Amino acid sequence: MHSMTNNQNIQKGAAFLLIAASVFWVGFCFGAGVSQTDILRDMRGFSLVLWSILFEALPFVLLGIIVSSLIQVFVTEDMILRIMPDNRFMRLVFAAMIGLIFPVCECAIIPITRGLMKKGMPVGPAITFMLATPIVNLIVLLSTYNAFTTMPQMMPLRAACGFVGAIVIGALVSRAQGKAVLKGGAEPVCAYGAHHGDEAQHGHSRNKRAIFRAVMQHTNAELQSVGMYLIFGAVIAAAVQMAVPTDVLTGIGGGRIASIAVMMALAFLLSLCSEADAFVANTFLYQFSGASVLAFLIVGPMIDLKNTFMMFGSFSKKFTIRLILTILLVCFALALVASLLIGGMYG
Amino acid sequence: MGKCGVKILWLFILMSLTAVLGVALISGNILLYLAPRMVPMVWFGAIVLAGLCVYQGYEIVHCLRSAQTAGKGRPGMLLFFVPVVFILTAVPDTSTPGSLPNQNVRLVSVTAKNAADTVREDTEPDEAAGSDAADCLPCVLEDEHAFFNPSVDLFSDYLFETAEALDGRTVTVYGFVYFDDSFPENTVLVSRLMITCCAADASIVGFHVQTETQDGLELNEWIRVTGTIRIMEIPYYGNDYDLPVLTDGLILRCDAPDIENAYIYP
Repeated sequence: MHSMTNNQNIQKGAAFLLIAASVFWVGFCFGAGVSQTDILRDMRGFSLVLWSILFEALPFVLLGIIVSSLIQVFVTEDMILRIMPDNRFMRLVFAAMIGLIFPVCECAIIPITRGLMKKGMPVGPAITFMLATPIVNLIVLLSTYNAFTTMPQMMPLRAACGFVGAIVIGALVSRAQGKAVLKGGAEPVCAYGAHHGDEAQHGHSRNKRAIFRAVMQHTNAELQSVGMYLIFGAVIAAAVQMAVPTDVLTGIGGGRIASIAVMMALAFLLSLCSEADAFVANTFLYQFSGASVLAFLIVGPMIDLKNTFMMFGSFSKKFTIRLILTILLVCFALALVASLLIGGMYG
Repeated sequence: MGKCGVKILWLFILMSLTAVLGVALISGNILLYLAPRMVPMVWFGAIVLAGLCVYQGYEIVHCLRSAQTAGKGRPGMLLFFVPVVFILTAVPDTSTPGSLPNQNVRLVSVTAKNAADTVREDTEPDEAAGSDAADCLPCVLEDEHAFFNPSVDLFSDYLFETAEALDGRTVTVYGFVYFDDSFPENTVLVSRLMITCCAADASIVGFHVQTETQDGLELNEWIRVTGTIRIMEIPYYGNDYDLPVLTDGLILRCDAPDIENAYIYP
């Protein structure tokens, strides 16, 4: 109850700030005759970046929500446990390998992971699945290969680091209790008051109309929940892209450790889709080492500004903070190892 | 809020989002935000949202007829209106992408040395050049009427690999003017924005134009440069690179391209 009140207060605060900014902006537009000012140009730029993020992410989030809703209605805990290997390590490997054939980016994967965890998928494999899929899927690997035609090693390196990193992170967070890490607790209740357990407990009958209604109810409820965090994250990411000069960050990068840290920070702030980030990463090769560009390529799909807010909307605050720190540490270590082992171009 | 107020508010939010996606798709403005290959997914999103609108209408009717209450709304639901406010009040156009800060620049350059002499200060926007953009620009070898395919050749290693073969050829380049502190002195880029998925991942790619003075050229101004390719050494982030360079360029001011040609794609 207490965390629910806190959550409501955070939502109220965020909503108030953004709505106040929007009201101010509308008054500014219509009151001051600013058609040709620099401010209007910048706000158009902000609007362009914000909506390009939303146009790109929203359909994938909807797809993820629909898949999640289908999981809620049709999949039982038994089914999940039946397909998972018994060995704990093999479960993580299995979860990472699903990513190879699952062409989903980081926006869609969070609602799907949340749906699987609600159905009893253990935390470790669920997080490994969530982190590996946006990196090791074939579309992302193909775009990485195309972006780095002069450095074809980058694609297998990205795949290997993403695969290994997701397994290591999954293992490190696997002690957490499955449903307890989900926001809303172990017995999630949707916006329409339906208690989500397995299908029998859920009260969704096999009647086609009832199943359709259940899927639509879940989709609506998930969209309300995940959608507002997506929008909040997109607004912040667009503001950062417009307001924070990246050359301040890139100016820092020089040494082995500093350049890896800078590229990880850039990946977090820019919030690029994992299918596109390789082309942007390529432009940094003249300023940064190959290892730091590799860090950019593995951190971005795992954690960025946009999906940080979606994670806070899906998982408990404590777990999300722990997960983010683990991701940053593991990715930094992987990039450092790549830098030390491979040297030369990647150093 | 009334008995079914939350459901009605949610319907209004869904309808607003559906309208924004639908208008962008039908008007073709979606290409200002996304690469064409992403557009089918937006259609999918618009159809799903429209379906949710219909379903929400059914829910509202059901709610009004029954004695049930819809539950409390979440304050965060109001966040959905924020991007809608921005798209209604600050509508981007084809000149907006070039004005975005923090864009990455790719190292491919053809330089029109001393081109400032040939900048026509009094020229009006060249309408013919604007319409040409749809056909063949940003780059054409005029002596053979052979085209670079900007998606494959112009901004990849093509120019590096074929530098010697290009030496002495006449080229026309179309793009917007870009320069920053990292560029060599008196140098601008005749550039295009390359996007893979959306405008948020745009990178600037193009040709350096070296002028005796940059006074005649403004940031984000669309121009067309015709000149002869020479191989020159261009400094970039502390290193020098041998690159094809456009010399003796003639620079004409042009209109910005249509939305369909606002970007190039890898």
